[in-house]
Amino acid sequence: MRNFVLFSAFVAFASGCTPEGSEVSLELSIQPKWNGQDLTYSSMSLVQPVTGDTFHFERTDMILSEFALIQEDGSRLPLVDEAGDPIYAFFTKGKPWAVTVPDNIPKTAYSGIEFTVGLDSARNFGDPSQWRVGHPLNPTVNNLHWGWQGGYVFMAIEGFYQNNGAREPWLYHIATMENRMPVRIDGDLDLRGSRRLVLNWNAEKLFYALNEVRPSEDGAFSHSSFDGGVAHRISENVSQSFSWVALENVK
Amino acid sequence: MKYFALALIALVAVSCGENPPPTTPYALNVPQGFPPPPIPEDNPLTVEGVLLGRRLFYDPILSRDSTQSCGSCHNTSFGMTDHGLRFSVGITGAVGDRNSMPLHNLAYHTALFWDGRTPTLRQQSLEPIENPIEMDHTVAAVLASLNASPTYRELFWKAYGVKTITAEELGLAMEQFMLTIMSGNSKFDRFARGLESLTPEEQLGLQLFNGEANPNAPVRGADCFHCHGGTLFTNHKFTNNGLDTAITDPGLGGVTGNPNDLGKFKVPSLRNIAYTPPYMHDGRFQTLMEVVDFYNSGTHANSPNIDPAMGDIIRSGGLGLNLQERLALVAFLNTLTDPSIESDTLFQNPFN
Repeated sequence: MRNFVLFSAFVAFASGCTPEGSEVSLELSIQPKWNGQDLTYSSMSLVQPVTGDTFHFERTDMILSEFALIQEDGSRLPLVDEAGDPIYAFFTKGKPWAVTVPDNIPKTAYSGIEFTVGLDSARNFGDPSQWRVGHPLNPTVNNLHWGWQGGYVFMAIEGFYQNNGAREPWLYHIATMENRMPVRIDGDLDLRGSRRLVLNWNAEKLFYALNEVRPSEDGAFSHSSFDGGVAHRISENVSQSFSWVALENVK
Repeated sequence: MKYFALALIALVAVSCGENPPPTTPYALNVPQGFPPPPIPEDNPLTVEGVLLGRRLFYDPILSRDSTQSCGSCHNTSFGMTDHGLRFSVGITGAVGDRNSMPLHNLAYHTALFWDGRTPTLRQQSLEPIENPIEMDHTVAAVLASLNASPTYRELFWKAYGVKTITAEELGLAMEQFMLTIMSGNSKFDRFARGLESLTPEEQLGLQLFNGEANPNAPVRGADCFHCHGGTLFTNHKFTNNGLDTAITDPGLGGVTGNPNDLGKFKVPSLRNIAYTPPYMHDGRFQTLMEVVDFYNSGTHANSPNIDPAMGDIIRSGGLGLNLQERLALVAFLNTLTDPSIESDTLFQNPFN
């Protein structure tokens, strides 16, 4: 009996040291959209609302990193995986655009979330062969590494557009450190329980959020150099292209 | 008691006989600088599995008249392609309609064949057996032959612990062998590791290969890296590179049914490219110079579903390389040749 009492006391003490549920998980789900509708890749039917340009998307690949929550005092809480390592994501058409942060987020309210479309310098110019099978930065997963030139393409978007009735290709590969695309989404991010945060990626905003970009006038191709600045203007638009949809409870 | 002991011994002996011997893990030689290859978790490489797979790969037992093996059309002296032939000839004399693909660094590929119709090597390896213009056999008949062979029964028992060979083990064994065909010791690889130098011509070719075909850029480029970049010299995508004004082979579109995929084919790795003429999915170009000439001035802007990455090149009227530059590009492509694909005894026909 004495041992039972001692054991019960120990359990109670241990539970008090690490109160159950003091940390929560977060699933970030991003929905590719065009004018509020699901982004389709099948036809020349996407009309840009400002310029009236008509697009067909073939490719929307991007690498995300530097995920962090914005705390009430304005400071950043970097999000990490089970091993305590930074979280990375690779999004491409046909696969879920989702990131799951395990149960390691302090349970409290936050005022927003940040991430970067792109990578920091160390990751961008690091040895790409270091990444394990299936890792978002493994070049055979994302096919966005520049290879022998070094560095990754942060976002690759390609397709066709109507140019005076003709179907012509466009391609913008956003790369280089000056074109990293920081994203900040403010909102009442109440994480006193595990949640799913749903965001939209509004692809139409690539072409007008801050800077108007028209393939027919600004150039339909860029590999982020010698392009008259079109890649940089698009990168600034990308930072404005994500929006808050909902914060959902996760059972 | 005496009979009980004997029975126990007999039981143990039988039980031991039912357990296959342990397999030996196969240490895959991954070239320096290559990303870790995704080996299927349900088919870990073993010495027994790899050697069995190699034997099957080179055994004509897979074809209906026992005259052709996988190695018949994937010869190591030709970078695991078919002896420089435009199209392979099957056992009936039927001629194929696509060029034999090289088989190296396949561990990194998630869509096989020119049209990407098969996601795994285990599935891919069974297709030529039943293709009427290739081996013209049936997997069922092959399995009957294998199960009638004491040698194969023993080898499958040691590799997979099965008494009866099924299509699953047949595919898994050949998958194991093909996963081991790694190639990353070309002159270029040694240059990248600081072990060898490129000639000035090869250096120019490298610069062109990795340079943008951008009229605003200060240095001229051929934009090859765009689709053939990275360690494996492929982006693993399916594209129409502007070969024709009209679609003659549906390619990926024939698999997906998506009209936007018509005329798209797998972007091949350029490793060992000098070993593998002729070129393109239909082997229309005999030499690398013909290929470079095509990109230089022969692409078709109005080809349906042409890849957007080709757009800038075509709008510029082609690459516009002069003869010296085109020769340099070919010289660089020749540095991607890895002689070990031809000489490594691990890849050779064990029946020889």
